[in-house]
Amino acid sequence: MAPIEQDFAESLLHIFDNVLLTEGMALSKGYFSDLSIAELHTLNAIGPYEARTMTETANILGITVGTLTVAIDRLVKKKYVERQRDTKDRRIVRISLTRQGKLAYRMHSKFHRVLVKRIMDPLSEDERKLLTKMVGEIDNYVEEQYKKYSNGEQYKRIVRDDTEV
Amino acid sequence: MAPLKKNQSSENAPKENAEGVVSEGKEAIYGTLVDMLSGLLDMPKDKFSPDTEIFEELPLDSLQLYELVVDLESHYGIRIPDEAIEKVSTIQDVVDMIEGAGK
Repeated sequence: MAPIEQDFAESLLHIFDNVLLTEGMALSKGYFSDLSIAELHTLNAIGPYEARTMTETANILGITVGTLTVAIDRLVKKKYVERQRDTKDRRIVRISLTRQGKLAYRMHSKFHRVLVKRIMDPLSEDERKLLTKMVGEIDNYVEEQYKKYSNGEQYKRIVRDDTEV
Repeated sequence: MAPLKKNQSSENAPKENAEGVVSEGKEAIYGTLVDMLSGLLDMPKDKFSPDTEIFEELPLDSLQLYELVVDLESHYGIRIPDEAIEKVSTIQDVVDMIEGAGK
């Protein structure tokens, strides 16, 4: 591998590891230390506004409704999520974030915003477009590889493998 | 700028549209906002004025800022994205933003 490719490969791996580590550290030392990263991603999938059905949320996370139910039970117990029955169809259960859940969501979004701002701010408009395009291509390629290795199974996001979910 | 007078006009009474967005006059919004800030920061209400610089003059940490944002969103049934938060500096700016969002 050429030196420049070696540097690039190392940086890429460091980014993966360090973003996850930093998110974990920020959580454990912050206001929401009782949340795991996977639980935070579940809150993100539910979103801060309209209530979602379990199926919608499970699809966003790429997990089964059964797995999500276990995660939601825990988040309800910790008072980050609440369940409501649909007023028109009582068979449908909707989930939404509590005030505490919305706060965790907003604080976590801020982490991402600050990171992106720090990276993007020094760049020109053209450089931003180019960087976004290149990172998008890396994302697509990695996703394709994942699909290939998962033997045609439905594409699951990495959160599936986290035992906390 | 002098503090806005307490809401006395019936046209300032809260109105809720079909999307659940509550619309109030600016004076009522100011009153609600000061109530929230006073409770959040444990400061007397007379310490606030429309000209108060939120990020410069108030001891508001990032969690308290989001508590305020989440409470305002839920009270008025509106959405306040981070981009909108970045554009405000005074209490009056927040009142204007909420009034604009409720229309």
